[in-house]
Amino acid sequence: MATATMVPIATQTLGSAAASITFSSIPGTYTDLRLVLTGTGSAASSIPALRFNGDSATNYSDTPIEGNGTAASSNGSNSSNAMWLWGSSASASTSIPTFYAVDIFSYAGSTNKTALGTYAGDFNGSGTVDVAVGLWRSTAAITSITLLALTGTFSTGTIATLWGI
Amino acid sequence: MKLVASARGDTAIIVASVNLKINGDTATNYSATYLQGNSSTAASGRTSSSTADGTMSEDGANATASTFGAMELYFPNYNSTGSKPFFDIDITEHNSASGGFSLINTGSHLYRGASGITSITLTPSSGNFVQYSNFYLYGIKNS
Repeated sequence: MATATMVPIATQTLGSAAASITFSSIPGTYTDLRLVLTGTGSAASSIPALRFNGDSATNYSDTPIEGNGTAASSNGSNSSNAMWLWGSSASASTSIPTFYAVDIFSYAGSTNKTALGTYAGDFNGSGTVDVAVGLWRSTAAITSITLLALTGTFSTGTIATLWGI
Repeated sequence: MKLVASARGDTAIIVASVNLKINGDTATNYSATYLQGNSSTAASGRTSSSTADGTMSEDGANATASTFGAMELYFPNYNSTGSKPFFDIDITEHNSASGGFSLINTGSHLYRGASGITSITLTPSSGNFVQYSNFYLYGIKNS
């Protein structure tokens, strides 16, 4: 019998600005997770990063590819204290919403966790598109995910949704 | 909301552009920043204040026969009354001893219309979609 492919786990719509958004008590009953964030920030650098299970140790790495409207580029970070999933020119806006989506694979398994992220921040004449792969070097099942604004806050009205797949 | 398409055009070209309009809006409300790889190089470009978003791709009539481009677009919070970002990835894989190129293209898009999205129109930049092109629109609930 067919069943729903994407099952909503939780949605948070910010009633006031916040520096982070956390989804906790994530059940281990799905295969993968998908997280989508849409909104604005208090500054250009208020772009999202991820932490799993509250881990702020240097267990994260990522490799993005980015287009900034002029050129393509790729860089990366190793042994970071969060997973970025965007390139060096990515930015937020105080007025135009951006889109951030992350697919987290085999999140409840006992191997290190990989993620595929996309960041869409076009501002009509500026902005970037970013695609990135990330790694969290932990064998623990993911039970909580925190979205952190790199600096400043996510603005009121920002929406974050977590689905189980 | 997610739109998935498998499309090919009848214009004599290998890779053809596809135009997108939302709610029939022909004002200069569309912009995009894209990132492309063509089996040889990677590049990025953008459009701004356009009357349609023409940065998606499909296979054209000169691509390998019976080959259709694949396209996925994701529209978050499409009922928003503010500017709406959306994301796409599309591929036009092509195999030909006579040359030409395949293309993988991904884009960050912005529609600066103030109404929720109630219609999406895709058209080839010229000519028509050929038979067996297909288009699926999925709604995604968050509760």
